[in-house]
Amino acid sequence: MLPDTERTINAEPILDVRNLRTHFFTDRGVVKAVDGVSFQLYPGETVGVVGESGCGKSMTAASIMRLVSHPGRIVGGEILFMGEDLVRKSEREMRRLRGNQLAMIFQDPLTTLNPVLKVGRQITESIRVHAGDDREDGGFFGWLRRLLDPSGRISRKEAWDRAVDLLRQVGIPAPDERMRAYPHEMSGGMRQRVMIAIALACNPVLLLADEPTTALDVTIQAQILELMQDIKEKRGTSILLITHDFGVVSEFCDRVIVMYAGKIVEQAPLDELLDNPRHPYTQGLLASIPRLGDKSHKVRPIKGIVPELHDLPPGCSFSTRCPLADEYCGRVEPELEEIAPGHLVACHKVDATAAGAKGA
Amino acid sequence: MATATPTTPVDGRAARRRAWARTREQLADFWRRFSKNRLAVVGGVVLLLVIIMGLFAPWIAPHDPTLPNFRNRFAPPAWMEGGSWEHPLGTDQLGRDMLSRIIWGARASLKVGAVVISFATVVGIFMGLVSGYYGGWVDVVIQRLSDILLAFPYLVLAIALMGVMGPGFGNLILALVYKEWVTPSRIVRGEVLAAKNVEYVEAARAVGARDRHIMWREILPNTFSSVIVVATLRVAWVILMEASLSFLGLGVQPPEPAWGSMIAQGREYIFSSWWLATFPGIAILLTVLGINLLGEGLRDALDPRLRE
Repeated sequence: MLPDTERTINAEPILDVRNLRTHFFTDRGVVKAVDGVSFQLYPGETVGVVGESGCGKSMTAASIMRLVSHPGRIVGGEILFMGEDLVRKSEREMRRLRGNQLAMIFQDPLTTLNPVLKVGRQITESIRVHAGDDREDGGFFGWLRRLLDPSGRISRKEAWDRAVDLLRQVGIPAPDERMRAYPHEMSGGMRQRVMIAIALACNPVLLLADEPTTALDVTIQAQILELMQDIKEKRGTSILLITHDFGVVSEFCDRVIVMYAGKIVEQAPLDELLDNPRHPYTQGLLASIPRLGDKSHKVRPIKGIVPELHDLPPGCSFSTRCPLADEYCGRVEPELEEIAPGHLVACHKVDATAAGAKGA
Repeated sequence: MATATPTTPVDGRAARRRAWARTREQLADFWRRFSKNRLAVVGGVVLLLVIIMGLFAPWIAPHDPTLPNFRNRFAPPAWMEGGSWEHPLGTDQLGRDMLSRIIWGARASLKVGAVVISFATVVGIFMGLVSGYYGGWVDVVIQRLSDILLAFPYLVLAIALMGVMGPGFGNLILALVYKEWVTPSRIVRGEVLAAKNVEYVEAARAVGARDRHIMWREILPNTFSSVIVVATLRVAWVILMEASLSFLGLGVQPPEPAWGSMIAQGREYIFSSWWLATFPGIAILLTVLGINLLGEGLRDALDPRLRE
C-alpha cells in the first residue's frame, strides 16, 4: 500500500521532525546522539530508519516519544506531530499522547513485558490507562468527582473483552487462555504479538517500532512483519520502523532514512535507494549484506568502526571510513541536498557515487 | 475494530480452570523447592506450633496464666522430684502455671511481631518506593533520615522512646515501628532502583502510564518476594526486641504474661528454681530460630534466579 506521490505531496505530514537535536551530557563530553535530524512522515506511510548500532536511530524514536532519560536531553528542534510541537508539550500532555495516538513497540519482547504480571492484566491496564484522561483535571474536586463517579473509566470486564479481541486480532490462538498466562509461559513471537496488541490498544495514529523483529527467529520475524503489514493496511497507521536490517526495510517500507553518527546521510523512496544508493555509507551497507545463491557477490564490510559520538571528526562524520574521502571531506561538513525528487544525500562526492561511476 | 467480542462462558470457564491448574502447578513447584530444605520445614513447623499456641491460647492453656496459687509456689516440672502433671512445666514464684504462661506469652510475642512488621512493611514499602522512584531530594531526605535512625542502637532508641511515652501496647508498637520501617524501605528502594530502568518500565511509560501506576502496579509486584523474606526474618528480630523490652519492664506489662518479663522475674530464682527463667528462654530461642530457618528457606525458594 504505497501512498501515491500525489497524496504524499498534498497531504499534511503526520510527523514533521525539524532539526531535532538530542544530546547526552556525560562525563566524557557531550554526545550528540541525534544531531540536526529532519524528516517527514505522511499518513499511512511506513518509513524505515536504518543505521549501525549507536547511530542515533533509537534515540530519534525516544525523542519523539519524549522518553529520553537523564543525562540525555532534547536540546533543539521541533517535533510536529499532527501539527503540534511535542518538544514543548508538558509531561502530562505527553503522557496522554503516549499509548494513545502515539505508540511504540520495543526490540526485546522478553524484557518489555513485566515478568510478574499476567499478560491479560498488562493489556487491560494499558487500555484503562487512558480511559480517565479527559477528567484528570480539576485538582482536588476533580479527584473527588472521579472517586464518586467512576463511570468514565472502562470497566474491567469491558477492558478484558477488548484485550481478548486485540489478542485475536494480532493472531494469538486461544486468547482467553493466553490472557491468564505469565510472559515466561509464552514464546518470543507470542510476546511480541502481545506487545503489538498493547501498542494497538488505543488505535494509535503513529507507531514507532524500534527493532521489532531483531530479537526473533527469522520465521517469526516474517510473521510479525506480516502482522504489521496487515495492521497498516487495515488501520492506516503510519509506522516509523527502526532497524539495522535492510531485509526488513526492503520488505516493508515506503521510504528509507539512513543515519550515521546522529545525522541523516541519505533519504530516498525504497526502490530509488536500493537501485541508486548515492551515499558511500549506504552503498557500503548494501554491499555488506550477504546474498543467497549469488556467488559473484562478495560481502564487503565497511572498514573501521563508528567514531565515538563525543569525539566526531570535523567535516563529514563518515570521512574516516569513506573510500572516497579527501582532505575537503575531513574539513567541511556536507549538507543534505536533493539530487532527485525525494532523494536527499549528504555527500560532497555525490557525483562520483552514481551507479555509472562505480565508487565504493 | 474496537468492538469487543465477548467470549462464550464455557470458553472462559475452561480457561479459568486451566489457569487454576497452572497456579496449582506453580505452588507445587514452590513447595518442591522449599521442602528440599529440611531445616526450613522444621522452622516452619515450629513457627506453626507457636502460632497455634498464640491463636488458641484460651483453649489450649490448662490454667489461667494470671491466677496465683500461693500454696503451690515453685512447683518443679513434672519429670522432677515433687513435680506433677497438673503443672507439666511447674509453677512460678506466685504459683502460676508455667505452661499456661508460656502459651499465653506466645500470643503477646506474636501480636507484637505481626503488628509491628505489618505497619513497618507498609510504611517501608511506601518510603522505599517514593525514595527510589523519584530520587533527587526526596531520596536524600528519606535516606538520611534512615541513616540517622540506623545510627542509634535499636534497643537504646526503643528504651528512650518507651521511657518518654510510657509503657502500653500502642506505645510499644510505635517504639518498634519507629525504626523497623527502615529495613523494608531499603530493600524496596534497592529493588526500585534496579527496576526503574528496566525495559518494561520504559514500555509502561510508552503506553502513557502515570508515575503512580508504574510505581504501584509495575515495580511493586517485583519487590514482593524480597519483602516477604525480609518481613519474615525481621519478625524474629522484633520478637526478640519485644522480649528485651519486656525483660526491662518497658514492654508488655504484668500480670499479662510475656516471655521477656517471665525471664526477668525468674532471673532472681535461677539457682533455686531454674525453670522459671529457662522455659521462656527456650520458647524465645525456638521461635526466633524457627522463623530464621523458615525465612532462609523462603529466600532460597523465592530467589528469582532459581525460578523457571
